[in-house]
Amino acid sequence: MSKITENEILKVAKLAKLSIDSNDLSKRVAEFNDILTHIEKLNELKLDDKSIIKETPHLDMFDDQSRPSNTIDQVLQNSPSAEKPFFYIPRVIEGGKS
Amino acid sequence: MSILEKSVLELSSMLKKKETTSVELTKTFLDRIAQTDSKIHAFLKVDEKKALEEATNADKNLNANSHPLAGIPIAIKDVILTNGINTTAGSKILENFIPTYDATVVTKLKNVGAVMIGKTNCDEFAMGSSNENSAYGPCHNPWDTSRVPGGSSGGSAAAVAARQAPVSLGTDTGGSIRQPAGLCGIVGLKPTYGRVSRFGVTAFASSLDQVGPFGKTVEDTSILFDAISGFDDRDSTSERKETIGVSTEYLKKDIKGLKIGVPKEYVNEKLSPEIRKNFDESLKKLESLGAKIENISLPHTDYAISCYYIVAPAEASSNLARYDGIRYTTRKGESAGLNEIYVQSRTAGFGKEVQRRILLGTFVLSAGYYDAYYKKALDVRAAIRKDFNDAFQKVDVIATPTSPCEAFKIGEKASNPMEMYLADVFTVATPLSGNPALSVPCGFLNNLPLGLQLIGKHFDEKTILNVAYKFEQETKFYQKAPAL
Repeated sequence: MSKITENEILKVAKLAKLSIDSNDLSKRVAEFNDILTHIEKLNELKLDDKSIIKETPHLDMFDDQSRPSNTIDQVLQNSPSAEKPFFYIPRVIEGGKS
Repeated sequence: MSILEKSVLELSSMLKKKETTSVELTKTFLDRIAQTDSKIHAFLKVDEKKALEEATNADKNLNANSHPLAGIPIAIKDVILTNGINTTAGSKILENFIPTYDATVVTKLKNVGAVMIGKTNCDEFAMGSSNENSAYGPCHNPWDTSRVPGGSSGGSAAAVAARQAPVSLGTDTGGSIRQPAGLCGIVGLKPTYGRVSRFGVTAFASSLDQVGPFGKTVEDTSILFDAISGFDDRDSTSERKETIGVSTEYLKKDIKGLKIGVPKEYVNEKLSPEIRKNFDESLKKLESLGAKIENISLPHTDYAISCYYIVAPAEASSNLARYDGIRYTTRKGESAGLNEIYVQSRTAGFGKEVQRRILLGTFVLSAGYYDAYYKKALDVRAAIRKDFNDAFQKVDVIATPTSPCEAFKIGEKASNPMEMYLADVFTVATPLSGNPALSVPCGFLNNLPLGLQLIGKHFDEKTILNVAYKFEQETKFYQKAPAL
């Protein structure tokens, strides 16, 4: 598998909502490729044993009943900017009055 | 014997006979923390007032029928939510986070009258093997403070080893209970996946995370394990299984004839001669107790680290998307618009290792790479699970060393992420397979403790605890404490 490039890691960072300092970029790419080289060991494996059953996550089904949960005050309590009953964020639609 | 050295049952007996009170006991451990934690840094938060209030309540309610943990101080890893007490997960991004409810494990402990003495240091979001990834500074190994206590539950392990708390809770996603237990010379148990509720536990990798107990001895660990186990309808992966029960009589059962498997993929020429020598001595002890040692194979072992470092970061990248600067984190970049709030809050709030794993997880889940990495890792995970199921057709317990080396120096592996990941080489497979596993002290190398890992069948923690107890009573390594 090809090694990841600086542009690719910047694209991944954009998807992950992180920014990478340009001074740090080449080091991050090198570390990333070192890890990828190790995890690509999995490509050596040919898993054609049909007896390997894929895991299906255990899920317990519950009755759909309402029950006490966090109150609005509790939900907003740890927000850096909120006024009941809303979280405050900057305007996301362009134009209009701000 | 100092009160700090006493077992949970001994302390409980003293409380019930009114030879001491929970308030006195709690003060003793608070004093110990005050005297020693400048050297260890096991705790991120100690709320003395709250702990003494809980101890006062425990004293009021204590009677002959009280649970063995009633009135006993317990330290809690800082990824576990505690109502009204700052819970940071070792991260700057949750620096001011005050939970509005308790994790189920905390509720269960409060219900039996246990006293929460403090929140322990850990790698940020439980990502690490040395506790050096804590945003609040590293925790130090009580046996040698220039060395790591292991991670990610380093604070919980160090606190028990340093006699700052009789027992503690940690979490294990790739070895985060067993590895620090081994390096700190105490007992740590990762229960079967689904055995202990994850409700209220800061999520790292949801299909792997489990809460588990630490204790100086197997008996203490068993008592705490029983108290936190059981079905919880607020965790959809919780299983309806009978708990092991508060009585610890099963620990004393004879292990004659019990089959203990040694996987050739763990114990081979790659193992250091010193660790090999210690492991062989441990096997001889188990044989002398009547166990039969058998060679087994877990064929996909060599792929476990690779599989883990795809599955865990993938789940982490999704779980940590919630830290967005909007709901419960410090906000940065307000003036530059919504997207910049996300980017700047997360970049400033997450440490290097967490960012590395989020990037890795985002990469392996992204279009074009999903099949080659993530899907392949899920197939390998199923193969690893099958390896364990096949092995447990032949043996009752599997034994391996807990770690490939003794506690390493702080900073020794910090600059090389891949080298750090390999510290978990013996512990990552069991979270992938869901099996329970523990570490029990098995000797010393260069005056630093080593751990023996015992792996059990799904929901058969009793058998590994039984074997560990017999081993512990024979070897008595638990009686040695670090000089502080």
